[in-house]
Amino acid sequence: MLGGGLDPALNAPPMRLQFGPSHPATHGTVRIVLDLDGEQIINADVQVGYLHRGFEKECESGFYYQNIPYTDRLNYSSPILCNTAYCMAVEKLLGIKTPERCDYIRVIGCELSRMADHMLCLGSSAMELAAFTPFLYLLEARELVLDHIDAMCGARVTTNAVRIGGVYSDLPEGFREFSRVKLDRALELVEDAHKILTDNIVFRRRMEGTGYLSPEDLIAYGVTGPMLRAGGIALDLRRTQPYLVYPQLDFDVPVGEHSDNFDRYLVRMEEIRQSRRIIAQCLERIPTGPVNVDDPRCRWPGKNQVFGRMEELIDQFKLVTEGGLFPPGEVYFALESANGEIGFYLVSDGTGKPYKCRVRSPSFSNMSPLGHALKGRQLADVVPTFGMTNMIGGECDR
Amino acid sequence: MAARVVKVARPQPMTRRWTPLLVGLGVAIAHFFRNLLGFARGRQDFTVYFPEQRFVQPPAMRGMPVLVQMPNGKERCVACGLCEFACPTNCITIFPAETASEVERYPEVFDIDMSRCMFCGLCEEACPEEAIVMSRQVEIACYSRRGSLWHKQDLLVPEAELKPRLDYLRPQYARK
Ligand code: SF4
Ligand code: SF4
Repeated sequence: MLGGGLDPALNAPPMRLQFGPSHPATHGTVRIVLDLDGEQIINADVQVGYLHRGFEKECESGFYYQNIPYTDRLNYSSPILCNTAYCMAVEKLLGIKTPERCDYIRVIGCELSRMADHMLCLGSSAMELAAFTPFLYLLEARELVLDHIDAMCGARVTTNAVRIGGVYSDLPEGFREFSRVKLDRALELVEDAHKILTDNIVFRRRMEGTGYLSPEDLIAYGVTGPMLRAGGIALDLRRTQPYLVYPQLDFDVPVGEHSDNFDRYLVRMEEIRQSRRIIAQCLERIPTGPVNVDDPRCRWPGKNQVFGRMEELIDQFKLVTEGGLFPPGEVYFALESANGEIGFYLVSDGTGKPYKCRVRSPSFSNMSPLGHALKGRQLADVVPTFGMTNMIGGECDR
Repeated sequence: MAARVVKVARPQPMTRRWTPLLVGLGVAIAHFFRNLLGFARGRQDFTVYFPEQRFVQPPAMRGMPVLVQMPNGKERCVACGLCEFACPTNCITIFPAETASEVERYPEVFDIDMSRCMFCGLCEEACPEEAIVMSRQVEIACYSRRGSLWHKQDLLVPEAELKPRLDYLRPQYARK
């Protein structure tokens, strides 16, 4: 095992290197303990959990609606995806169907979040490989995407944009025009970063062939998202288990074939473009109508009625102080987040608070084969492989 | 009308080493000149030089929660406690008291611990009186932890000043 350079006769132990928990080349709080033989990694031990905040336990002490802001803090680079996944899990428990306009707004929010997440992932990975210019372009593009989210729900990162049975607010006026201008500019910047990075010899040498994981390993470890699709497996929940209005939309699911970091990069690049297409289609087709379900079990009544009518006022008091009426039972709902399948498993005992809320976080499963992918590789491969895993501490450690 | 699976086009193996680097350099130089000429023509800098310049916030912006002050100087809040219930972080403290009219209550103490508030807006959504709304104020840094505890008098903001927020909220009240 300790072959290669280590000479047993010299009795030299491998060098142990602590990569993290807070390392400039890892954009997440994670520790990778590396046993090194020269530059070669003999063993990599990935230790997660530094950002554990007890999300799942915290959920048990809050009403269903109170946990929505906490889901923002799971994947903080694409919060609307987490909001939507949680709210749709609760809706599945209740068995309600949201209005079509609400579904379109959610898809727009989700795709904007996916773009923002990929831009951050690609930008910071490029920066860790010493390409600072595309990082700035991609972050500028991300800011333009966050402008949309800001206009939609009033916050750039801690969005709290989705509600059980609806959304926080309707799209602002003129959103389509606003979005056309800003997204065109953002995509231009992404293309500029693509021109700099994709053919760049330094970038390609460090990405191509590194971080290889065989499709069998990917499936065995439960990897999802761009990492799985880069291995040639076309599992995208938007396609395989359609939710919201995705079946009516026309988009491509990019897959790679080499299962290395470069394919993961290319898949993400392509997904940004596809998200742009989806948003354009949604804004084209979005119907008018209500954005909230009319269901007194979960959705708070409109304020006009609360101000003027007794029944709605009582309803508002009941919903706020008791959380809502939820049937006992258990549900699991998952959707395709930027990193893969994010799922919420909820157990309800019939009260306004979840009895148990478990998150199936994509980052955690995507991190598990990292040690395997790094074993036998060079030390320099840690940075691109970790970057393309796109581990988000808040989501991985919950 | 459906999702199709496509293979990503992987660029050819590197044969030319220098041309891609020159293309990249070209992109960076194009950005440089665009910025240079843009600024000469009054292009807005992407960076905002805070605090001399302010970021233009959209109408939806959620800043810190404040209490609406009616023209008579009193708060609109009736101390019903819904915001206290709705707040996920339990950062609102209300001690209700009776007013002279015997049917109305008012908050004797209304404190918000801004170090715990996360500007989520649930209190605003829960309030049945439009008495607590999210302002545009976010510059609330303070020197001590005590300074982050805001009392009723500090939280009161005249209704006229909150007009942009109320104008944003009111069209949404009509929802079923
Ligand atoms: S904004 Fe959220 S955290 Fe802050 S006081 Fe209101 S409900 Fe509580
Ligand atoms: S919900 Fe509104 S009226 Fe009730 S205590 Fe809070 S601010 Fe006052």
